[in-house]
Amino acid sequence: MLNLLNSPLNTPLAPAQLKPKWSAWFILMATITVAIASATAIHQLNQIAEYSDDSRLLLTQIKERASRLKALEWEGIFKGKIDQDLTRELAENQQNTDAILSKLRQLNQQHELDKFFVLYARHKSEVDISLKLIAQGKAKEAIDHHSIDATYDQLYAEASALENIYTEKKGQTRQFSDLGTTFSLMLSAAIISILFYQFSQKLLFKNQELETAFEELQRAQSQLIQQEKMAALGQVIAGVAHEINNPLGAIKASASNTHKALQEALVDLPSLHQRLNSEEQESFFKLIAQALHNPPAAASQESRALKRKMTAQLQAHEVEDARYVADLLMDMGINEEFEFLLPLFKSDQCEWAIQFAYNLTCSFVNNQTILRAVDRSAKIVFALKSYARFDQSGKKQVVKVADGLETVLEIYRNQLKRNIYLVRDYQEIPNILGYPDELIQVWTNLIHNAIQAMESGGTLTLALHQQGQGIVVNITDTGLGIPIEIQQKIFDAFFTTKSAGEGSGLGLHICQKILDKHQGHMKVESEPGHTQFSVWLPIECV
Amino acid sequence: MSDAAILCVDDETSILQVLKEQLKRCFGSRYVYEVAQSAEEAWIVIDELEEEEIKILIIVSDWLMPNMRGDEFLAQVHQRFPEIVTVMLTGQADEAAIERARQQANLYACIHKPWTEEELKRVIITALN
Repeated sequence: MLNLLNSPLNTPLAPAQLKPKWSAWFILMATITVAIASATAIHQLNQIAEYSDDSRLLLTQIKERASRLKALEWEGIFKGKIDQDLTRELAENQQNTDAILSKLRQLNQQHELDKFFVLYARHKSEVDISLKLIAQGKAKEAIDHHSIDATYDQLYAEASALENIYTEKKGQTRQFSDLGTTFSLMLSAAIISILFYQFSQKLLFKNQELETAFEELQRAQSQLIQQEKMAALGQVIAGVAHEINNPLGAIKASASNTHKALQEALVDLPSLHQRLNSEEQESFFKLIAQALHNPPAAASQESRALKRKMTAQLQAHEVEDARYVADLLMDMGINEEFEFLLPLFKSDQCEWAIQFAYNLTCSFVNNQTILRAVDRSAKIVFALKSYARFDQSGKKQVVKVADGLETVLEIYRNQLKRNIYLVRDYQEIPNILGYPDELIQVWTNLIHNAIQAMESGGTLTLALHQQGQGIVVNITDTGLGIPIEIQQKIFDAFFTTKSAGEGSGLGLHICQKILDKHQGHMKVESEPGHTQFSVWLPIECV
Repeated sequence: MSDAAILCVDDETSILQVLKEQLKRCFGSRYVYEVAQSAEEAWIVIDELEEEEIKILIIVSDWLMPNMRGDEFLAQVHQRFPEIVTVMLTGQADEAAIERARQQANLYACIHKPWTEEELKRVIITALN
């Protein structure tokens, strides 16, 4: 049984469809690399933008300083000398300008400012010459010498051009960096989606695996139930075979009897008119009519007494083999009213005529026996079929609880012959929705236990009634009872009071599981001489 | 009139009915045929026949019957009437029970259901000779 049980569990689950493990890691590593690269690029672009912006600002400042220098020079020309204030302002301006220039030089990595520095140096030298002339009091010469405007304009134009370049460069780099950011974001989104998709796939697969495992478990459980049921059947199957052999024996013997009776009757038929006169024939046909009408007398103390009385009466009429003839008559259903047979009794053909009548009519009784036996066999076969049925659809069906009980009683019929008196107290109950095969297992266990509890005989009572929204099945025995200390344990798996090999100890545990599945429940009350298992099952909408 | 009887015991009335008819066809008025549905009833019949001074020659008994098994019944019969031939007619070949009946009831034969008339007839003829 265990081997069979294991097989569904051992079946490998659906083959794993996981992608190679490195794919996720590969994607992750690639993503990180791309992320670092794009971050670096964005950073660099931003730096370029910033440097362009700084350069542009510095150039603007230089422009301001240059124009300020030019203004100071004019102030000197105007004053005709370089006084203290002018000297200070010039120094200050020069300091600021130098600071800006040094910053610009630092930024001038690509030498794009080289021309500007040349122009600035030229302009500065022009201004310095002019300032020197002013300091020497040669303001007029300074004006004549003047080419400052030209160098200034060149410087200004170069600065403005550079400013424009830087503005444009900044705009471009910003655009690039924005593009880079967008790209990175999109890439991240894509990567996250891919990873999430993979994760979901794995989760989905795991889920499917779990579902399969759960289904396997359920299947294994229902197979376990079926195995238990069949194991129980194995214990009683010999008895069921005996039950079938009884009607088979009756059928075979009846057929053989009918065959012989007809053979004898057909031999006797032509001599009827020779052997019996009309009065006797009248009596003979009356006997046949009565035999067809009456059922044969059942064997009982009463019928035996009647037979003795009849034998005595036949002896009084000097009928030969009186007891045998009386027996034939009893089997034809003739008992007290037999005055109409007097003409036959008086005849020397009495025994022949009665045997002939018996042969003509016994096939009716035999046919009745065959019909009953066939019904009986069909009932047993039906019970076996219902019992062994194993519905794997997993769908609830309409269940007639009494039919299930009767199936189990039929299976256990010869067990019940062991001194057990059966009482059925079935009240009208509605059909319920459930799993008929599994409920049969519940009834099997409870009835089997009850029978086993009454080794030396007792009364088994099966009672059915409705209670609220459910039905109650009470199975009561008058056996030894269950000791109070083990009453709580009897529903535990593998708990058994039977010796090893006699019971799996799963019976009541399985019953409990089946009832759980039906949202029903079971309770037990037991004392010596009275043990009752009470099962409640919900009706549900049928 | 016959003063020898064959008694059949089975809890199924239809078996008793066909069995008795078969015996009647085989042996006619040579014997008295009685039937009983249980061991208890069989004892009553045995007493009644004893009273009528009819000697029981053979008891054909089923094995599985309410209250008392065939082997147990035949053993009791054998104890009281060792001269009665005991035959078991059963649908269930319980070897242990048959063996028990052999030892304790001097079981003459065991016929399995479904049986043939020839089988039954042969057993009874050989038993009574």
